[in-house]
Amino acid sequence: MKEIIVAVAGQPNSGKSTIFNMLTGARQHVANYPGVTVEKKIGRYTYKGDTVVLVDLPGTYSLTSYSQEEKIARDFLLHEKPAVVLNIVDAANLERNLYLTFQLQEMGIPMVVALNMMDVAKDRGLSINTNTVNEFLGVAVIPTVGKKNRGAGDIKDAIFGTYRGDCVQATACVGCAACSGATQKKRPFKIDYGNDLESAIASLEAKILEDPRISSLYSPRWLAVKLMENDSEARRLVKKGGDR
Amino acid sequence: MVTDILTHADGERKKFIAECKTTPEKVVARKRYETAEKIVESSVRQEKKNLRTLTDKIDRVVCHKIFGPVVLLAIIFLFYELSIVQGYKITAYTWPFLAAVRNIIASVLPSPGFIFDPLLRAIPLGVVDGIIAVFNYIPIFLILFALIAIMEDSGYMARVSFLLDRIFRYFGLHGQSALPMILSGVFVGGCAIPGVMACRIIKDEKAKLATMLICPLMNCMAKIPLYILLVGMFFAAHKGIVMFFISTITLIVALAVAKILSLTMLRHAETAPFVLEMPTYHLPTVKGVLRRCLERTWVFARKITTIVAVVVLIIYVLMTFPGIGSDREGFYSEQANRHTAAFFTAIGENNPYANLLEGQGLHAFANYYDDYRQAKMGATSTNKKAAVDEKFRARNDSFFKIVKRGRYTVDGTTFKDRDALKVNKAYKKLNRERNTIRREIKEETIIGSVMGRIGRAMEPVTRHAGFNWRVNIALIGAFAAKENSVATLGSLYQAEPGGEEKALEERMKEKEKGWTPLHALALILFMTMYPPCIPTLLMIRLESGSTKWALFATLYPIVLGSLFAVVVFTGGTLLELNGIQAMIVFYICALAVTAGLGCIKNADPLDEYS
Repeated sequence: MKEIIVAVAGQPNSGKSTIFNMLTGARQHVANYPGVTVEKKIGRYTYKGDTVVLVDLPGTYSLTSYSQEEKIARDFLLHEKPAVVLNIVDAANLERNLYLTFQLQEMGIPMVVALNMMDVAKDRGLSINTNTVNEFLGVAVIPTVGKKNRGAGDIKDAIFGTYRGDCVQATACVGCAACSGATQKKRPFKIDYGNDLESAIASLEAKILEDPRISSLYSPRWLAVKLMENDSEARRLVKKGGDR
Repeated sequence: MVTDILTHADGERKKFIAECKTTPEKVVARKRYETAEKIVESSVRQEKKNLRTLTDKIDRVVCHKIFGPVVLLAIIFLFYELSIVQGYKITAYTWPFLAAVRNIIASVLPSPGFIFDPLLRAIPLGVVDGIIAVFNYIPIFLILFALIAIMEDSGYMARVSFLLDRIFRYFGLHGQSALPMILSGVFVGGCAIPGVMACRIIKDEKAKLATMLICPLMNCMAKIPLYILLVGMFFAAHKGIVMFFISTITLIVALAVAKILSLTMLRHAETAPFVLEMPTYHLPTVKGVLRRCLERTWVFARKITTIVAVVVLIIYVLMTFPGIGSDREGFYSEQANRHTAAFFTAIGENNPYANLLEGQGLHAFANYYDDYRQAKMGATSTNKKAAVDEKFRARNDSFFKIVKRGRYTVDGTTFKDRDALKVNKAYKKLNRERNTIRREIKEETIIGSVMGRIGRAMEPVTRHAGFNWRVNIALIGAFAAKENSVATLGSLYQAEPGGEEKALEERMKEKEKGWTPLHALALILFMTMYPPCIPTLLMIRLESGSTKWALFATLYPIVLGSLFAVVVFTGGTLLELNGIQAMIVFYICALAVTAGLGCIKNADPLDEYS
């Protein structure tokens, strides 16, 4: 029996807690992240004999290191190395929510997107083609309605499939029996930052790859982007990685 | 190798900025938004066109350039009206409960001595008095915090941030600085502790620190009693103007301080782009609002019972020791004995009550007499008064006859007891003399105490701000928690226990005949800039993660406050201005300085590279 650690990330008001509760039911406990007053909720469920441990990250709009919540979410993803990150996205505010999705994806952790509050989106006259979103992002995209318990099974399937590394197709995935043989892995999705910045990032990535102490710990592209942004936390990570 | 990566990164970054005339972070953010837009464009279809949600309709008014601020002002006024004005009315109903608790505690403690109280009574009672004085504010807090929770849960708070960001950003603050400042009491009285805690929501490190450091300048609940006292004494005719001055001058100074900090000490702190979500409006749930308001009130109550209790204790000790010495104690005992002897002469040897009052009897009667008066004061209706009478008759029948001036009713017949009346009259005289002695002892104790010596030692300096040693003591004592300032003044301008109840205003006027409104204005200004109380400092230390900032948050208000007080008092005296004139001149100057600071350009991150 294995334990699969899954981080649940999402922006505030995306219905993260509802999905978390929907997946884990009563099997959860609350602790605090060490040294701070931010709550850490942990829940579990069993999937085909394996235990999936869900860790609820604080709701954040992005993953820079400005606020305590963002720092905590980022540190968890960087240092605890969850097997999968489940990104809860408010379907009615897709554009804004994708900002966090891109950052999560850049960190290089396998991801499942739950397109939540589909009912609210529908009420507002929005019709969302999940397949198109899935094509773009290259990760499983599951439509859900957390308040009505819709989509729990699909999410669990997708998490497991993503964990095994062979699921990218959201709607077709049933425990990934269908696509396990066929290599459906797509090129990982990348944001195109434009020629000038991309060439700088590429050159910096190459430099990072020269130092396995650092490139083995963090996604080189993520680190390169962060260093270009002059992110003090990323600089600290590089220094620390080199000191070991 | 590691330094290689970092130098390489620096090189690439500098090159990029030089070539593209923009920063990578701006490009990264823009590209992310563009990509998100592209994805949404191709995957989302808007079926019903021009669908206006209720939220959009409300926002058209609430975020409007002109109506927006009007609505905001109206809501702030509503806050003031509901929490402060109505809250104070509620405290009139809750106070008797607190007073009852105090009396219960007082009754289990050792009873007071004839002229010297046992320490086991005096110290716990001092602490209890300090705590319940502040617990009295709890109804106001509950209302205030409930209103703020409603504002947050409904989604209006995000609009407040949006509206205020336009002003705040000129001063290096952030739209999200609004909530911490409102909680701290920007206009209406609040508490800096939840305010500092709420700074967590500010994403921008620079604005977060700046907000945290100016939160204590806001008008917290504890500053208000002193304002009310002084305004009532010296500005009775201009109450409205002075209260307006007090509530806005703090904001004006705070904005200036924030700007100066962000241009100097916080120059290199990290900044973040202002990303603000406008959530759809929700009807707040009763459960959600209650939970949040009780949580915040609980934080406040816990502070009161733990830290304030300890500090009240320390202040009490500092204001009591080393004491007046055995010589003076003997002197006062001697005086007390002389008055007691005179009392017995006055009632006459043959008085049937004389025996009863011999030795410990007199002391027992003194306590009985005070308890009775206390109980009578607490009883509001005729029924309750009768119940009090019944209780005290049961406690001691003979004493009861004396306190009733010899007129009492047994089984429907009214008796007149001339002896009891005589004792009553003589005792009243003795009681006055006893209270005078007690007051003299207390005053002598405070003057000779550690605190009194510090206050006196500072007088030559603080004289320029118009503060005498009594005020110095009150201000030092307020450091524990500002609500102490009025309590300390109260004990310095001695109330007479059991004696004639005079308001503190009158007692102060009697002792400080030379005081002018200018004195009061200097004191008010010092109080507006008063350094944060110890619990707030602990919170700043916790939230900023640095002792340095906590110390800074203590020192800069003292410097500012002293400066303002000296300028206003000495300057006002030289220019022969009266209180109101000095206030207006000061206000205009402060407003001009702050407006000027607002016009200075904020440090741009690009500057470092140009």
